[in-house]
Amino acid sequence: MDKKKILVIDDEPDFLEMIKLRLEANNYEVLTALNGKEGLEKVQQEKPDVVLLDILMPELDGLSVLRRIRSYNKNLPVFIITAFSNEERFKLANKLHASGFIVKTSDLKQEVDNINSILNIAPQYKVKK
Amino acid sequence: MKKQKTKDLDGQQKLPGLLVRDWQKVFDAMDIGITASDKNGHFEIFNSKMQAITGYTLEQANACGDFSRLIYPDPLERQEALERLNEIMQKPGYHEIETQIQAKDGTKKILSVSTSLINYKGRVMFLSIYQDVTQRRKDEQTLKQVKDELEIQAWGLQKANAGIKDLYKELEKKTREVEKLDQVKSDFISTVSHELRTPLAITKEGISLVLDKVAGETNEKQEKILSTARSNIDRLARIIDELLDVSKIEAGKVELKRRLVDIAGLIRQLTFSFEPSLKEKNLELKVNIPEKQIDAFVDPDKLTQVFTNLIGNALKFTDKGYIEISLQEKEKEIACIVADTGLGIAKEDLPKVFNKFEQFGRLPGGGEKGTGLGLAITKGIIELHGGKIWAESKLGAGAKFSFILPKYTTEEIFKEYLNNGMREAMEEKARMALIVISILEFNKLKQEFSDEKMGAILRSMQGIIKDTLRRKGDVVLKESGEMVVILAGCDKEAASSVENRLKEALDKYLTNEKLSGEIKLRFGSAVYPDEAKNDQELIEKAKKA
Repeated sequence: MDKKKILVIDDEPDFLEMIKLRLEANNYEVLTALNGKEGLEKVQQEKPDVVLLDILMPELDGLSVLRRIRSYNKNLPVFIITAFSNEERFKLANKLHASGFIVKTSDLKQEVDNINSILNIAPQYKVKK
Repeated sequence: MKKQKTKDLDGQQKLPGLLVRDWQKVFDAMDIGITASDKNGHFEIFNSKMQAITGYTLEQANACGDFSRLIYPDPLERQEALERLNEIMQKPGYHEIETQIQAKDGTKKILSVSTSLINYKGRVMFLSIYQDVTQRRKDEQTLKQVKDELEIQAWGLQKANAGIKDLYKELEKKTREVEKLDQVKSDFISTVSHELRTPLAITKEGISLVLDKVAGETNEKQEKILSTARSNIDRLARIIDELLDVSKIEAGKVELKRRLVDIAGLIRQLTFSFEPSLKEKNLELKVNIPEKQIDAFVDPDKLTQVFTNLIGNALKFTDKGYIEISLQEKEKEIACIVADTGLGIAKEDLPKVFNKFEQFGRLPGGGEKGTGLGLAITKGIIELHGGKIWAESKLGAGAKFSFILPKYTTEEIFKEYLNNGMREAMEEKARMALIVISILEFNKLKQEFSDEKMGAILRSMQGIIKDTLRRKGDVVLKESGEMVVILAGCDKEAASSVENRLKEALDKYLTNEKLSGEIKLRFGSAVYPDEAKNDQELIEKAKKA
């Protein structure tokens, strides 16, 4: 099976470095973007299979990025990177039609396992309307 | 003076039986001073009252030649007084002046004087009437002073009032500042926790990557060092989380999301997660909970936190024996106890256990280290629920943490749900629908069925209602045999479609259970704020519809 192409958009270079290693260890081809604008460009050009998107970014925040992605692609799995508590996450989930969440502060190994299972169990994963 | 008409006093002498001498008596009986004098100032009449006022007799007044010298010792005052008296004599009509005299004993008196010309025994004389108005003027003076004082006081009050208004304005300003500060503070808390957690997460992930051998092989010694580092990062993260919790509780920023929760079930579920640690320490967990549902109106997440803290603490400080959880439903409260056979707490430390950053009986090494915040948070949560928590212990003889939660009647819970729903609807400018499902002839049915059976039926129906709702909704089972569904953000159309679905599901249940002959349901709904402005109206409307 081909490596899945994953794009991580986060303004924290150190975090990108860490999650890149973690994702590569999980057999992903990892692309990174340091801001929303760069991220949107890479979504168009590189056509990733999955996007991990930080919600809190200066200038173009995660919400706006997701809205733009959704304006032309309703099916691309987008996971939101967040530091929020459960409840707020669920509120956001309803609003954003995100595929899932990665909690920055919890165990990233587990979080990446979750992404794996979501993507593997439902390869034709469709975002709920 | 010539123009002035004279009064003929002699004429009145003609009254039958009244002699001239008697006039003197009449004058003496009067309570006003009366004098009659000729143009030379010689007094013919000087009545008793006048004597009382001035202290002089007729003889004394006449003896001096000029009476005015006696009563006006100051020449300037005398001149002025005489001028004024002369002046009024010139004017036609009745005149009165006030003048201050000095009586024989030296006291100053204010007299009101009126003078007119009369014809007395064929002579033109001055008839003067004096009234001692000293007391009246004094009273008036006092009254004026009182009035002035009152006015000053009123003025003071007015000023004070204005001052209070200013203070109030200042207070409002300060309140706004405090509110702003509060916002800043709570923003600060969440920013700080976010800012602290991010680098921590990165550090932890770095260590994890090495430990997971993503960056190559590691030896045992390295792994041990990194594991210690990682567990301390976890601890730091917990401290940050708990600090955030404490700050939120202290700032009153915690809003409980109360639901009807079966606490017995919640505890049973929780105990599973502690099984591995219990096994590891070879401890027994005694669960002393009645075999039934014990519903409380609480925030399930927060109450889970309470139990996790208390059981976790017990676990931490107990090496042999057991941990016991007891739950008791009393008439007005739910009582819960978490007891252990562990180290216990010294008497002098007992009052401090719920303080922040107070840690006692910490064992050197071993086990997960605490943050010193768990019990402070626990107490905060229990108190937010209107409950009370306390600790009993003896050093070496285990610890016992007890708390009570108030019980609410279904009516109170229903009102709470309803008001929360209406408040939310108002804040979000949204609607809220109320669906009332009444069981007809509920009291008669209650007699036919056993309590147990009726209870089971009601719970099943409640379950069906909950399962049928596709949106967020609260269901309350009322003692009067009504099931009320509160639907946030629901308009009339959506409410009737939910109502139809519920009707279908419940009818199906009643048919399957062969109860449709006995139990009849009535459905009704109302939407806030379209159909009703307050809770009472809403209920009435939903019951009727």
